[in-house]
Amino acid sequence: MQIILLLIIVSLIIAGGFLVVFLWAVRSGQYDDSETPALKVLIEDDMLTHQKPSN
Amino acid sequence: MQKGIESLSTIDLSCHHCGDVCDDDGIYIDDYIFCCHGCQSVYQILSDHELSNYYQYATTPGVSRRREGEKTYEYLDDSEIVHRLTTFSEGSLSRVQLELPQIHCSACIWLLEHLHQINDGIRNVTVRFAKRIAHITFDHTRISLRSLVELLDDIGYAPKIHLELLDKGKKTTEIDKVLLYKIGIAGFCFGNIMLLSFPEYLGFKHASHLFYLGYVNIILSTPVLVYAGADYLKSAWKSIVKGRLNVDVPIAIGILALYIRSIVEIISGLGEGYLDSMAGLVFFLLIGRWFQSMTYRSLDFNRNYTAYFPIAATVKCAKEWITKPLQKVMPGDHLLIRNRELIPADGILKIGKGRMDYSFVTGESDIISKEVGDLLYAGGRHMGESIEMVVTKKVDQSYLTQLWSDDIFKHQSISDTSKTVTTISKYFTLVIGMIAVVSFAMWSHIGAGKAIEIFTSVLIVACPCALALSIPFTYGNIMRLLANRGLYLRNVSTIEHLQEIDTIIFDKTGTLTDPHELAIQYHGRVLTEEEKSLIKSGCFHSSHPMSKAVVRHLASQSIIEVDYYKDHIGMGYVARIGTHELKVGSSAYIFGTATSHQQSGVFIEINDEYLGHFKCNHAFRNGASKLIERLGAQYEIGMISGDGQQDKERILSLMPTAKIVSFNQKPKDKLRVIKDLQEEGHKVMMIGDGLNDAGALKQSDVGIVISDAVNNFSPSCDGILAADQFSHLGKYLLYFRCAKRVLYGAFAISLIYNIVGLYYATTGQLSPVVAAILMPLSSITVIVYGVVLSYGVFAWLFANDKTEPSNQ
Repeated sequence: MQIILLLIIVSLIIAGGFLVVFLWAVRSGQYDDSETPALKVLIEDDMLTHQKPSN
Repeated sequence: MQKGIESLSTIDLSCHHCGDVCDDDGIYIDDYIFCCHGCQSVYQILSDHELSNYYQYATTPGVSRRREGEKTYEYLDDSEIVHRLTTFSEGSLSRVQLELPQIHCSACIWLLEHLHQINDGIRNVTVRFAKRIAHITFDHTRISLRSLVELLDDIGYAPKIHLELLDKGKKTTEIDKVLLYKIGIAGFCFGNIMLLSFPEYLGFKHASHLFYLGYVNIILSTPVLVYAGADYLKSAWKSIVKGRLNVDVPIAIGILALYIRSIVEIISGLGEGYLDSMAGLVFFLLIGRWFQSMTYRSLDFNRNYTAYFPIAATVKCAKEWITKPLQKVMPGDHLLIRNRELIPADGILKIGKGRMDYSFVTGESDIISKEVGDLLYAGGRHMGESIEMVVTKKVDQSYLTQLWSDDIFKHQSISDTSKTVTTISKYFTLVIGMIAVVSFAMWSHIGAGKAIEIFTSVLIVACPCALALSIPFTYGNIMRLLANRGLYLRNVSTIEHLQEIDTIIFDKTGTLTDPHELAIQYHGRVLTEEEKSLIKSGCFHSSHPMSKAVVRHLASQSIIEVDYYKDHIGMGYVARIGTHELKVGSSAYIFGTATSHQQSGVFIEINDEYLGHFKCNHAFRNGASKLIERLGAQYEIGMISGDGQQDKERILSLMPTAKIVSFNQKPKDKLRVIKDLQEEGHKVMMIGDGLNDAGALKQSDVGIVISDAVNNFSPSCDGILAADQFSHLGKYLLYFRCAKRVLYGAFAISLIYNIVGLYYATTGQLSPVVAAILMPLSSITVIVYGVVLSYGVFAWLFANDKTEPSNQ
């Protein structure tokens, strides 16, 4: 049954990893603003070179 | 999207920048047409810096520059102002947070985040779309704050820089990150503890031989108690110290009982404890808090006059004009007020012709003319050529602004805790305490150990988690639903206050009346059809809003060609049509200034004979009379206005049952009227719109502001109602009363669960599995019930209402 102990430790470490990722995401401001990134996703930076108005 | 020669060949003459229809004087550049030089220069700047992509992300993304007045940003050279505006400064880098109300589409975001292409002193721009805010990091050795702001203004994003920013500049109102941390940790611990308790749920009694599972659970549950659930313990402690029992007291007792008993059980090897229930409880409570706090962070309900006043004024100092921070403006200072600038302090007009727009203060949109020597009140916007004035009072002691020195603005009375829940939990705690003691006494003959077990079981199972969740989810959901229909409430306790009100007081101008609609009434000799068309034909040539209203009023008449027309701006006009001489204008224009009774209106004289006059009033808002009738059946109704009595009859016919109809009320008088009503025992809702209502709004139990643009303007209040939804107010109030029943249903459900739990606890059958099922189940039932039923009532009440939801 000692294997259970090992499994628990491994699973806690993995789950703890996800917790750390979540805390980091909150800390780095990813949850501060959910609207602006949604609008920015359609913007491409190289659009200008392709679509200069025809003269 | 290609918009070039093709679109020009059609009749599309809308400005490439802002989309306005271009007049004959449209400007053509690069095959595009622009309505004005402002729009064209924005295009020029952008295309010079390879930013014309702006026009690809959205059709005509710009904001019209036609009506923009010249703005000066000289005050941004003042180092003290710059210092107070920057949120962060290190080395050569500075950071500012500017509100750009023009942000409205993805092209705006794109352009602003590419500003470094125009000036490489700008390092980084981050846009917060919902709040219309840009965080800008710039190198202040290469671009000054003033040049930065001027650049933004040049490309059509003039920042809103107000007095308020000086105090709030450094304080950012970001979302509560700590709450998210807590939810993350509580969720993590809750999930893992449940997983580790799983063998036990399935009845593997041998699993308890794995003694270390219990210790792992203790390790996992400790952060839940000391970090995630700390607020509940603290709040409970505070409330006990104050001698009150709020809902956090039984919750904290439950959490502690769960934790301590579990630890005792695990260490003594008696069982596995209830740590899963404890972590779950804290997790659900935190989710409830988060749900409740997810309101409109983009709206600010706490504004005062500083949100609208400029930062600096132009002051004459030794024959030179300098800019001076507003707080330093003293009585006796000589101020220059340019076109579209705000009067920052009370004073006397010295040079020039004042044309004041007090719409911002009173809701009245008519422009008031002022002559040299007249008093100018702070808060008016001057529309016209520059004027000079002498300040007579300090900024915060002016007629309007001194309102904020009233006591009512000093203490923050708004709390987020629910009164109903606090009252219930007081009795709840006492009853549970009694049950726990009685069952302890009844079981004590079996043994002290068993009695303590029963005692703690009662405390655990009675934890009013479901009760605490009923308000956040039921009322939180209601707030969200109503926000889609144009009513934005400050917090959930506003709903409770709304259910209690019995008196509704309206402001007149801008609240009951629509500032954009003029109602015309004719007084005088009956007009013939010919005279009517003469008047319409003449007025057709005048650009005055009253003339336009007359033209609309005489819609069925035909227009005759006018042979001669001469306009005297601000006074009236003369016209000749065929053999008829027409003279139309203000009473002073027709009768001369000598006559004693000056009235407002359009006065008509044809062939030297005075016929009568058209009286222009602001029309009542659409649906106002129906609404008043409906509200009058259930509430006391009243009206207080800062205007004169001329509208008295109209108001009385609108609200014949009115309790109060008073005119000529100063901002402080309005506050006092509300206070008097409250002292008589009434619960008052004030509905207003302007800064002059700010005192009454604050004093009232619920202050609601009517606003045409929800994001733009609102004095301190409890709720903002979109103007086009005004007629639905009665229905909203009905909805709030229904919501009370829904909430009582949620209370009943949570009490039933508690009674079931108490049965298990007092009979000594509360196993960890029962607790682990019962507690989350009760919470989830209450959440689902609250959300579904509040939505159901909403759908039922507004089923026949096909009004489009207003977009903010």
